Amino acid sequence: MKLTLHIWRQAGSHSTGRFETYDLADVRPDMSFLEMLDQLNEQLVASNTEPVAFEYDCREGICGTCSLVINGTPHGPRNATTTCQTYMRHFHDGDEIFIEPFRAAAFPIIRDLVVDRSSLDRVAQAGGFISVGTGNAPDANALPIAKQDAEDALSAAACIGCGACVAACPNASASLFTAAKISHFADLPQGGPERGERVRRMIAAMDEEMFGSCTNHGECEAVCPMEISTRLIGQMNREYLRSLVVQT
Amino acid sequence: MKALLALLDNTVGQKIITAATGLGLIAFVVGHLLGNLQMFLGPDAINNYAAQLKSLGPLLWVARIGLLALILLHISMTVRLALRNRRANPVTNRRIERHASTRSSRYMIISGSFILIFVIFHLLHFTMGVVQPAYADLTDADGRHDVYTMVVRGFQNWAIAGFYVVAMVMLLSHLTHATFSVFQTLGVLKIAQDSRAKTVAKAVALVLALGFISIPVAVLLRLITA
Repeated sequence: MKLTLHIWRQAGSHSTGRFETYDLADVRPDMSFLEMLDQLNEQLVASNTEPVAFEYDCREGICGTCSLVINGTPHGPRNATTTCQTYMRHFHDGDEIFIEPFRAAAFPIIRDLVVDRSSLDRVAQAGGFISVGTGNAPDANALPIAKQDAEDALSAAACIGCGACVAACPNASASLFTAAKISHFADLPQGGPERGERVRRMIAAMDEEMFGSCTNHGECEAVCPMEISTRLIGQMNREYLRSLVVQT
Repeated sequence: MKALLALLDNTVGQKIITAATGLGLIAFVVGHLLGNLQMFLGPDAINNYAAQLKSLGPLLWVARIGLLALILLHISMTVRLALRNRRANPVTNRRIERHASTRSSRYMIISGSFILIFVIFHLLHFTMGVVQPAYADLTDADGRHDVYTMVVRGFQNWAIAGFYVVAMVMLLSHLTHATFSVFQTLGVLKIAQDSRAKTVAKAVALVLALGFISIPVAVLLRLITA
């Protein structure tokens, strides 16, 4: 495959960036998208050009480190798929591909395609600790949890914190991320004592980081590689209203 | 009270206020439409209805002030959030594909602003009679304010009728997103996350807009005459 790549290049957070165009030949369909970028970087290094900086870690779709807005969609064209799990067979010979970083005021660009997503970490950290019993492992079923509650908590916990929701949102809102982290614990007995405090603190942290607000566009859900539902945003709002009425 | 003030402190609370006031305004729009549709029942029905509303006296002013408070809260929260959202997403030079948002959801500020301008015009027109003073103070045979003739004469003007229709198309755009969105924001998940309920919500928006549009159109088609 031969490709024309338009890649956002930016030397640092305060420099102005621009698209650079690169031609890349001999791309195999069984390469992952990141391997394709590796091949581009080898070509750039061979011609004494600065390679393109991009982030990755596990390359198996579970860590949330890879990012990239590919042809206008965070994590590229495949539904429920991270960039690292996107393969070149999803593209065609002769394609032009635009590659940009995840953008938001809360995600300052560090270099090229790498952005600082520590704002999400700070929102998660604002959740604080949860109270659980220590000591020996508890007996099985000593703490009964309804099947549906357990399922809902696990669905929310699927969030890998990649930030695609923020990058896709016209308002650069982190509502889906924050809602997933809140819903993760909301209906579980573990962390129950901190329930109200947690939602108030996490929402305050989200605002502090200069994320936008949710206007129910639904773009986040459409690009989420873990298929987190906007239902959780409604649940976050409900949790927040509850926290105003019920202590803890 | 403290809980209500806490809502003002964060974006989720502000959004909840936007949704709650929006829901109140939708309720008003439904009531207003039901009242207006009495235009189709002839002069006696609508003039009687208007006279009854007027006879509420101080209660009418309570309703008016309440409505004004809803509008002011709704707009102030939205403007605050919209400015914040613009700052949160300052980059304009990117390609971005839209997968889920709709024209209706993206143009809420534009449709909302148009509706505000319309509401001001509408008050100057039919409530205060500034726009067409000749039709504002007519009385019918029973000595009641002749709302029927005022509306018919008003809508016989193509430009005014056209403006009302355009404004109601804007209302349709605004409500198409709003009617489902309020339930999502208020966490009424049974409604917000049900695709059938979403369709019903859009249908409600359409019925409301078409209901309002039917009046100037009926006047222009001479289905309603003075």
